[in-house]
Amino acid sequence: MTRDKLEGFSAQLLAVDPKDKQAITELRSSMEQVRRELKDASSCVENTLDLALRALQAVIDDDTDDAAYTIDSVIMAVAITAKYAEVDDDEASSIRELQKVIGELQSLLHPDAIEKTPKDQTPEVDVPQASTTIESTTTPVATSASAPDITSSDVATKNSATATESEASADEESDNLWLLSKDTDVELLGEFIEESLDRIVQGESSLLELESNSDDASQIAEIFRAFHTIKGTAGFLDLNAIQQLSHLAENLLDRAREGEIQVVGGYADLSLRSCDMLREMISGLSGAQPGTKLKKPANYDLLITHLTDPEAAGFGATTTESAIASKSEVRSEENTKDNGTVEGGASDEESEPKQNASNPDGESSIRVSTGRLDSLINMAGELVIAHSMVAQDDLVIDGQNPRLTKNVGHCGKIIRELQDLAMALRMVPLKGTFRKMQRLVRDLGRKANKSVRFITEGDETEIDRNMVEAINDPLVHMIRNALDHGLENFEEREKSGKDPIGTVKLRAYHSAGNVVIELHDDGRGLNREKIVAKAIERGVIESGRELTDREAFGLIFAAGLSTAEKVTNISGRGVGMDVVRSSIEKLNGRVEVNSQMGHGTTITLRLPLTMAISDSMLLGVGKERFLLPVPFISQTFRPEPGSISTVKGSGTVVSLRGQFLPLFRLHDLFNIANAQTDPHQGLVVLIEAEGRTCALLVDGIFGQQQVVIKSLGPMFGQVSGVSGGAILGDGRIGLILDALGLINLATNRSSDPLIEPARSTEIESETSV
Amino acid sequence: MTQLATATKRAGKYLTFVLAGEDYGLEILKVREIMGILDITTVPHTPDYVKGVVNIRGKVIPIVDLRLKFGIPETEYTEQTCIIVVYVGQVEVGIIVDRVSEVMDIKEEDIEDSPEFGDGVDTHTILGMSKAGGKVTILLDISKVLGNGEVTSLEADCL
Repeated sequence: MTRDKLEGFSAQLLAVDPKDKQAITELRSSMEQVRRELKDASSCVENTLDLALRALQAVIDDDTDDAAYTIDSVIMAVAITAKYAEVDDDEASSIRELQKVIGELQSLLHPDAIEKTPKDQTPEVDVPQASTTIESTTTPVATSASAPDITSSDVATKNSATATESEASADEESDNLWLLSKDTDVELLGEFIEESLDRIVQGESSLLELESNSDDASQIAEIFRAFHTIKGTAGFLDLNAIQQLSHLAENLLDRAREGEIQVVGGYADLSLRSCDMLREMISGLSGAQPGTKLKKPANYDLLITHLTDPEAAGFGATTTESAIASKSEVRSEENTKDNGTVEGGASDEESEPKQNASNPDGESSIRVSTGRLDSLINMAGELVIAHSMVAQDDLVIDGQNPRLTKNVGHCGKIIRELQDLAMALRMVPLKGTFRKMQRLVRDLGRKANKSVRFITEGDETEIDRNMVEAINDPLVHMIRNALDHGLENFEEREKSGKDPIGTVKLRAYHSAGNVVIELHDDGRGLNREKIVAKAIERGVIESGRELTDREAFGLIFAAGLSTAEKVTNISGRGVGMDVVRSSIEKLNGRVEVNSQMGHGTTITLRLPLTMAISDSMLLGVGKERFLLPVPFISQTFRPEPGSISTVKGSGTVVSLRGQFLPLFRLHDLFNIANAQTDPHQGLVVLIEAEGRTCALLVDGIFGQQQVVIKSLGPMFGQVSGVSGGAILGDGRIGLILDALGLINLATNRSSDPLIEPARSTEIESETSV
Repeated sequence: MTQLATATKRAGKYLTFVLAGEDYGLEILKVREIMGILDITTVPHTPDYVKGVVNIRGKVIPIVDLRLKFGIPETEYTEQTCIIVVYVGQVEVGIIVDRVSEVMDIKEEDIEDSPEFGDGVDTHTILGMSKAGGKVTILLDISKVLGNGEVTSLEADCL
């Protein structure tokens, strides 16, 4: 009962406006009532509530440094007290937690020990008061008589130590170490890490928005709140170094709030640096053992110095690397589209950028462990398979029992929907990735001295969580290229009549079962002739070969190819784009480049919606069934009579539209018996991966279906040509073919090079094989 | 003394099976399930003792023919041929055996170390030999049997 009431107070306090004195007074009286009626509560609980009531009174009397902050602390105190309201006095954990809360509240009611020295009287005055309150309470359980003693002495030491604590801990904390208190509650710490990292991300995004729109009060407030909350909780958990940093960062933002400064230029730099350092320190906490010393990041002290007095250190609104760079704008326009998210669908209306940035996730959500999520998704997948085994059973299919057939069908519908929902659970919006890119563009723009406008579109587009990490590096590389080589600098652009501020646009959307990500820059575009010339020079292709635009631009993905005249440390070495392509193809996706000289370049990534499911064609060879993912299939055809020839020595070629392609027989590569050996009776499938093509002979195609990819297990480590397995509708296993592996397998066993058409001088033509 | 100590560790329940006329035992805790022989999908380019994979309730499980692993010529499958699915670390593997016998509770006094046969024969895969039940049962350390580097790569690649 008490617990519920206290939790209710906590909730009400959350909703109250710090300036609404009347509401607070009313809440306080109700709380006081509950406090008076407390029976059988531990002395710690009573003590905490007393302090909470005093704190609220201070807010009402305008006697606090920061009303909002005080209320926050009271909310936390009441929430924790609620937890222990009905618990025995001698629970050690309750004493510890409440002790902390008590300490925090007391320090609030007296000046902050870190900022100023506490007034002489107040600590002593309170210590006896605290102990008298505790000692005078008669507690029913005999053993708990000792507990109050511990509590009072501990509270006393904590209290009188608040003044000396910062000095004591300063002693323990040498130049680059700080202590993680051994009383730290690891669970609370974990929550702190998660939530703070989230807040930093939000804050950073707001900072970037502010750079182009420095008067936006809501953004300033957003960042201020971020630092403020981190400071509060860090203080609560005795994370002194973090608290100190966030405190100074908060001060800077406070000056902006008051209109004294604008968060641009040097101030923006400082704020962003603070975000980075906080992020580093907080991530470093994860897994740390209480009682150990942690290293302060390099430049921590430097940043503190800069934040303490920015102007003295030379930071100001206009101090930047160059005047041009300060013109850098980073803006994100977001179109919300309905893409059927699990949370019930995003709104269809066009939302303004400001609105989005300050309240990106309106829907409620909960945290779920990823392990559980994955198990759920696996189970849903197995359910689909089990169902299809039932559905394909003869008893169901032959129609003898219509009721059974109907029921099985009904089950199927439900299961398919469940499967869709489970699949959707794996999806996360690209927003996080796009945000990272935003920061990257800003930093790169300043370094390269170019003014850049960065636009994102469709960042609520969702992609499989497992793919998010994998596309990060390719995107980073592509953006580096765009900024480094694509965009011209200020003068060049002016001279050619372009908008001096370059635009880089990152766009994502769903299309035909794929996630499409486009990166566009309006820079100088790709020089087709140069690329082809370089490729011929490097021996990647032979001269005189006719290339479509797509093929020509596709050459930039060849390893070692770079037409950059100078290599910067950002890019230019020619080892990037091939890695980009192979990373994307590893995800069963494709990359394409298009460009217009002088106007810009667009790189398009096409990725499957999820890595768990493969849209594949079912190929038959002998009795066996294989699955080949559709993205790697260029085309399929039945060879015309006379189009098959053998090249002297080894190998067969098939001609298609004037081109000769080496033909490989799958039954040969895999040693399968009873397969179709006559190409004219079988089917040729053209596969393509990493720019290489290969023609495969199979018996036939037995359909196209979406299958759940099952790993074959580590035992089959590197089976060439096979990347996994899938359970087909009839319960059999179909091996999923790996296009690149197959191409390698095939070419290693033949002497013919792949990309060039067969160059042999002697060709025997056969009418039948 | 050490012999006694190791013998105690080996006592326990074993699932016994027959392979080419010999009796073998597997620690029961490592056995996940036993089933009759199923259709096996072959996987190309694997050693001959790796017969392929099977679908067990939606999971893809690799299958090893124990005869071939031991270097014994393979034989036709009968209705008594079984697949025993065992745990090797975190991974499940199925082994094909001629016949499954029973679950035996073997005490330490019945277990002897396998005799040294000299360099030619590799006996580290054998936990010991049991004389319980009046017959000789060879107790296998299944992780070592399915090992030789495969187990280490099994663990390393496991999620």
